[in-house]
Amino acid sequence: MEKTLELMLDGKKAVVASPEETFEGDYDENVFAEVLENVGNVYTKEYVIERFKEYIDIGFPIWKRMNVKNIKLPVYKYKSYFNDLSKEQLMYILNYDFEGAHRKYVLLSDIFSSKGKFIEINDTQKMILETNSEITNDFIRVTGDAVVIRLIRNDSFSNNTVRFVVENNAKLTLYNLYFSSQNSFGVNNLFIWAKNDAKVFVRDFYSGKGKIASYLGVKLMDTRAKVELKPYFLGSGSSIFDLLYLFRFIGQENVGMLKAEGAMSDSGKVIFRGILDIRRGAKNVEASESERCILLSPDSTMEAIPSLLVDENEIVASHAASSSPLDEDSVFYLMTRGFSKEEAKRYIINGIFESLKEELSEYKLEGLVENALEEFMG
Amino acid sequence: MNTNLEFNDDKFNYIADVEIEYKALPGLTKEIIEEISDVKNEPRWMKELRLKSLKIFQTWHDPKFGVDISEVDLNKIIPYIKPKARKTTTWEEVPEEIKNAFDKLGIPEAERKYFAGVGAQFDSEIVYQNIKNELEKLGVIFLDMETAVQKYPDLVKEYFMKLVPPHDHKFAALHGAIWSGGTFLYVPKGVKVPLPLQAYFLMSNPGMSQLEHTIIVADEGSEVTFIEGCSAPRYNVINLHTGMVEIYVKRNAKVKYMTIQNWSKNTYNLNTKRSIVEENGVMSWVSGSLGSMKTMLYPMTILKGKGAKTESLGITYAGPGQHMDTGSKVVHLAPYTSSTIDARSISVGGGWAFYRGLLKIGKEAKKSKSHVQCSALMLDNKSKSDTVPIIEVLNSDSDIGHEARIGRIKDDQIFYLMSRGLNEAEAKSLIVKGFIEPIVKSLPFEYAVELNRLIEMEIESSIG
Repeated sequence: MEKTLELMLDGKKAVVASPEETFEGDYDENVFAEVLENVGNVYTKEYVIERFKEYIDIGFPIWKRMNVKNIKLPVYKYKSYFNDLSKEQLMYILNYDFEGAHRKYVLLSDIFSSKGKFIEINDTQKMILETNSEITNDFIRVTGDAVVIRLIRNDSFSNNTVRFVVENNAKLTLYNLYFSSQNSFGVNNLFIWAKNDAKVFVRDFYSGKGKIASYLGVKLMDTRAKVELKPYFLGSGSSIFDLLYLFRFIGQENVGMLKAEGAMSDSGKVIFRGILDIRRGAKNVEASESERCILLSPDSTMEAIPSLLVDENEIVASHAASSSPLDEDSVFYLMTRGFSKEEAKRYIINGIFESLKEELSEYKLEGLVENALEEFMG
Repeated sequence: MNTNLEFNDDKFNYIADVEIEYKALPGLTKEIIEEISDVKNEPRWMKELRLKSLKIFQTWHDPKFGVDISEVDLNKIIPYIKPKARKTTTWEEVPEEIKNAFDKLGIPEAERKYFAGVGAQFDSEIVYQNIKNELEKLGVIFLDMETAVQKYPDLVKEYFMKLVPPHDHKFAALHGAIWSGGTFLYVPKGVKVPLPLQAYFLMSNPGMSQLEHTIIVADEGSEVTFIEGCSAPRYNVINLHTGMVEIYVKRNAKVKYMTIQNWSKNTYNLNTKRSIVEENGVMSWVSGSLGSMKTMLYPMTILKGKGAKTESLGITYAGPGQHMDTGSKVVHLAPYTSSTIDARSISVGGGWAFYRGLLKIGKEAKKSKSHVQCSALMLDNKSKSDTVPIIEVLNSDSDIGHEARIGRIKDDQIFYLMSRGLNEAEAKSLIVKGFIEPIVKSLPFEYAVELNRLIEMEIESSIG
């Protein structure tokens, strides 16, 4: 299983904090019995039982930064894909396992998902996956050239898990577009295993007034893969976006780039954790990370924890983070060109999302970002 | 060609055979702590503080981050050792063996040449403390902590463990219970101390702990530079250093605090340093963390007054078997405050350098500025270098920047220097010296010499 943090060196270890846990609001054994009743074949039954053994010993994390007091799980609805999984497909899921933002939420999807698919994309294909306040679980294996667009809307509770395996020479372009309503709480756990010469481009867009805990891990297992992650965030109201991005470099000559930017207003808060984890033997990798946040109101806040964990010295690794108010010189310049102060601000914020809108226009989805911007700017 | 870049600390591995006047039993009990307090003839408030700290210590958990300290058995650590030596202000009166130990480090010579005053602690007690007469006449108080507790009880009580209270963390509580030695420095209003003051700490006994307490109060408009050095011979059992430094920088005052830490490789160095800076005050930290088996040290500055500033410049060296978890913490609480942090590390021979930082810009700290820069040099593939800064910004009106870079010595740099006539080892050594140059440059002459002796000369001798 891919752990999020493993801080060790030749027998020495560092202490890693783990959050306190609560079992309040969890599904009970009756719900699990219902899951078992609906499971179709013997393999999946064994698989679900094993997962549940692990699940019941773990509580929900009490994330202090997220300030989530009570978890309200949705009423269990059985629609999951477990019934149809073959032994081979189950082996895939077992081989590609991960801890995520917290193991509890990954297991929650594995056992109690109400929606989810095992998808293999062999050719050039585009697909849209939509979820709305649900527990979902997907496994996507790419051997061709895939464009996957995920639209995640949440107005209460959602928990979405996706495992991607991008095989040799395959290409994945992924858009994760999150829209959170006030008082909602959503958890996203996504992991990408990138193999030889794989190409992965991810654009994440987090918006709205809710709470989102999002985790995206990438493991560059083999050689010469290129992965580019660009998260954008736009939070208002009392939103809290806790975003964790992990690059784990194992093989040689891989390239990983993480570039996050966005703006927060009202009492919105963004917590950005970027981890570049370069293991011994991952020679000649290029790893970089940057984050930029514009805070637009006196009560909006940001936290950045950009981490470099390096066991190999034949590499180039760097990170940078910045937080600043809206650049007064830029606003002034625009005002000298005839813009009002409000228009100038709007223009600058829009600029951050321009390239994302342009990319999404290819799929006629740029309106989703424009609407979020409209709502954000009031 | 020898390209071994590992650090060799044998020159500091000097064992002094000094007679002991009092040695506490290993472990931590109410009785032992009362006994230590009685031996020191302390006032009641200090004894109560020790006992309160012990109670807090017994309820605290180990830190949930940093180095693994599961090997430290506090029941085996000797909390207090008093050498048979009375405190003196005359170097000649210091017992011969102790003098030899400090002479080896150049302490008396340095005092004559470069310092305004020197304190020397051997095991748990200060054995020598002296200040130039002219500074004493200006009202500068520079005393060992025990004497200060007796002579200026109200002044010490006002500041002692007020910035780092015993409930701050487990090792603050431990410190409150069994602290011993250290320095009390008070610089009156407007007094600018022209030369640095110095304290040097030696641990000479196996299995002991040293928990000196240092307080610096720089009153309004005053200026002072304080330097501390630490070393110990190497033993096969664990030694523990849990010192504490509290610095109060009043309005328009300036304090520069420099440390060269060279504890032996059997030492756990779990140290706490904190300063609070009032309006337009300036706090500068310069530190070289070179020794110890494991270190957790994050000097912290609280910028409390408008326009307060801090600068931190540090080098951490992690050689074979070392796990160095170091960093800086800055909390901006007032408008127009500024901070700059330049943290560098070298890891070699399986050493682990971990930078852990915190920068917090409070809600009221409008128009504040901060820049944090971390650079790490990994000299081989056996070592590890990690950087984890936490940046928290709670207002929309401040400018914050952070950069970090980890890498090795590049082949083209070596190639260039070799083309100028250097061999490979000399080229590497020169690049390492360039990497630490900003720290060496910022030290006064004597300490620059010592840092060079520790890094430059020793690394060079092992590779050249």
